[in-house]
Amino acid sequence: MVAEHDLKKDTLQTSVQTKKYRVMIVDDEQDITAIFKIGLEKNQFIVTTFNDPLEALSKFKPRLYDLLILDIRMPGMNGFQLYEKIRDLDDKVKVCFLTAFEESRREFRNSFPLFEEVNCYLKKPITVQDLIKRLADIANS
Amino acid sequence: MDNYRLIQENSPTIGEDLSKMRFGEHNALIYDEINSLREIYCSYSKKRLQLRNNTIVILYHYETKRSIRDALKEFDIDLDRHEADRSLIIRDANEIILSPTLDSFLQYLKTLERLAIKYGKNGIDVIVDMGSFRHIGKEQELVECEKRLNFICAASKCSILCCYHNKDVKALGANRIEEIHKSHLKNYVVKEQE
Repeated sequence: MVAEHDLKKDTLQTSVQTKKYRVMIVDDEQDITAIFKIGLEKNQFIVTTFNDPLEALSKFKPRLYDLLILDIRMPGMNGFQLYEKIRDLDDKVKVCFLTAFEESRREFRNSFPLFEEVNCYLKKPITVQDLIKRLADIANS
Repeated sequence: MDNYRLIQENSPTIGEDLSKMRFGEHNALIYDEINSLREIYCSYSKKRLQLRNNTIVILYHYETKRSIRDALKEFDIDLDRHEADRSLIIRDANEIILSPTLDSFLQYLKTLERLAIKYGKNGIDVIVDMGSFRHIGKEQELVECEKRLNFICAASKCSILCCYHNKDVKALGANRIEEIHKSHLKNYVVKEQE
């Protein structure tokens, strides 16, 4: 099992290390952004985090990131609203939504009309290894 | 009501004050930190469950059922017992509010009150995070809801605590903020510790 785990880990690292992938994470929970930042940076990602969606929007610049990870329920501005504002500035950046809620994929699709544009939908809790695997898939797609 | 009461206090003082809420009271709580909200609803729930024979209804928005259960457990609240005897109900506010209409939410509260009394309780104490309204872009319905909750609460075996994240309040604009403050008997603002 250990060998298999290490093999998987190596595969993930190989799949993303050819290019340093720039990720912006926006989540109002500081624990989440801190854990993801540490885990992703150990795996060749360059990570910028924000706990306030309005601040994230004010600091956002087109082409600065390859991928955004956006929490959905955040005070002040939710992840969907942030997505729409950012899309107006950068139509290339890939986007993953992150949610802790019990919504199924179908419910998520219903609550967010732009669902088809989104690159992935992640459910919390998620391990850093699972997150890296999903991001590696997107990076290579 | 032309004026409204704004009460700025720390979380323990607010929790203590809220635990004395009576049926018919409709108050607001404005918080900056989720941990402050947790501390308040945990101490409130613990005292109410110990001292009163009411059903506590927690309708969350920025938390999950699991995180609320974990927080209540840390306050030594016997969740299994209280959920089994219907003295504690925890649900996602998004599933209740405006699903499909504001009327259905208000009807839901009336139904809970009726059921609580049927099961031998005195009434219901509702803690609801109003973040759901902003989340789905229904700010005008939020003001309407607050006004109608006043009437519902006054004529019921029910107390209601409407919780707002400070960032959601600021995003509403001055006129709506004033309308919301006026709708509540007391508006508690959590003074965060430095």
